Amino acid sequence: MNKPHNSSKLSESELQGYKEYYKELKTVINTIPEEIASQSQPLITLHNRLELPSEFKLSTLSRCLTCRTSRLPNVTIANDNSSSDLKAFPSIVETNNLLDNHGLNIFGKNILMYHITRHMLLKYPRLPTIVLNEAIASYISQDSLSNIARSWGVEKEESAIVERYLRKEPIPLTLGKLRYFNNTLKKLDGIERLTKNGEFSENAALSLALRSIIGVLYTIQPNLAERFIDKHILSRKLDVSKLFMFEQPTRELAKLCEREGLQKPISKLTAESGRLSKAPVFIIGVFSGDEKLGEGFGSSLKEAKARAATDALLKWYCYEPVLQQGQKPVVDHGTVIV
Amino acid sequence: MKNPIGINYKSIDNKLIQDKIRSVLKFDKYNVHLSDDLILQCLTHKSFAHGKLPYNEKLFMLGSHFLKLRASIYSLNNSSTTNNSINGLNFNNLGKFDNKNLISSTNITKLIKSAKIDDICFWKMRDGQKDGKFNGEDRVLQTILNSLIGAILIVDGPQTAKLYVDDFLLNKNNKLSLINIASK
Repeated sequence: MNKPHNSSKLSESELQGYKEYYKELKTVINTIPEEIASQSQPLITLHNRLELPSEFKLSTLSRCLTCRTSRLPNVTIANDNSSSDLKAFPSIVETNNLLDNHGLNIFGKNILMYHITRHMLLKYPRLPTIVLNEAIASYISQDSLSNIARSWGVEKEESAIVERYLRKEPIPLTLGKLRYFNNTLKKLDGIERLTKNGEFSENAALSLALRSIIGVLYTIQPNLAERFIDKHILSRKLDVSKLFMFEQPTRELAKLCEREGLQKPISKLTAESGRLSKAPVFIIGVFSGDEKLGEGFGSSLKEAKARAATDALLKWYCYEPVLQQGQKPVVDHGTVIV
Repeated sequence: MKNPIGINYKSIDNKLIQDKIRSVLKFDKYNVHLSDDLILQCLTHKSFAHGKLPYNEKLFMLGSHFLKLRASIYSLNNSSTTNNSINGLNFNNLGKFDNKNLISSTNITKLIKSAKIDDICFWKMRDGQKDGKFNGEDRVLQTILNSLIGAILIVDGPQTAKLYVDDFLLNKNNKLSLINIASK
């Protein structure tokens, strides 16, 4: 049962070499010198792939990839001197809290929230708040952002420092990888650490990096950040009409017409086929005075009426104004409360 | 249809309500051109008429995100240290209490009360017999300022909104700014 430990142990010279490697890695991560960052192939590749401007330094890009959660081993050591705790975090080097992406992420998030909200409100001024929030979340939720960052090919640092040392991995390579709380133990023993906000997860780290990049771009020139958001985030197709679910469409339409000073909506049967067959089809139009608001079909009058009201509501809420010069912007009065 | 202090929504005196907002919040100085109806919408909370009258929910949402962004830029520009800065801006201050407090509902409510425009807000109290805290007064009153910013953004554009927020609300030389209110 007792394995001979001597064979698996590092020799004294190797241990010294490892110590030096660790020390050098730590110094580089805590200072991120531009000359070392400029030797990092993953950083250069990411910089080129994202078409970042030359003012966006590679050392700053590396900082965007450094999450505050990668500081955790430091905390563990401060609380408990037992070095055995480090075994749980073999891939992480203590980082300097001044050179992580914490503040950049907050700034990037503020930019994203404002830019996306404004875009959505100008494009769909009448969206109900609950749908608007969902639409915004579908663009900038943690999962969406992490998928975008993953599509850029952001690499995460997964190997233990000792492994990096043994394969003589150049230190600049670490600077180009996403560094975050990365408990490799959970992959080995199947235990996963669950946290309230998932702030230690890979998705959280990827979205932090993306937001930080936006934050840095804004400091170079606000237009750059806005163009970046348009290109990478708002370019994705989102069908807002799929986000709706009306519980009482006919009632909601009646309330809407009342608030907007329109005549009471009336449903009229416009066409039908096979009323007495097993597959009848009814087509109903909903009218406010002479104006047709919407149309729907169904296998029963009730179903067709509800679909007609839903159609009318969707046309109202998903209205996209075509703003011409001199035209007043549309300011919605708010969602109808049923 | 009356607000908590008894002003009737249907018989509003423009001089009392909209013109007061324009003069107290210095709209003319910053070329802000909000219509009477839009100012009234900014002053009306969702709770007032249960969605039957125009209310400020979405304007508030837009305005609060804009204010948050401008406040964070203010904090970046006014950081005392420039160690480890990026393009001259120090990001270590963001997320700290001072930065968050600047645009907190409590601070914005204090500004609304200092400007004495809290009494012309249209909202419905949960229980008229109980105090403001129970009725969520802070959360309601903060929507006035944020929705006015949102309205400026939509009507007058981002440049005017930026100038207004930076020069009026985030200017420590202005007595009625969020900076001075927070420091009290």
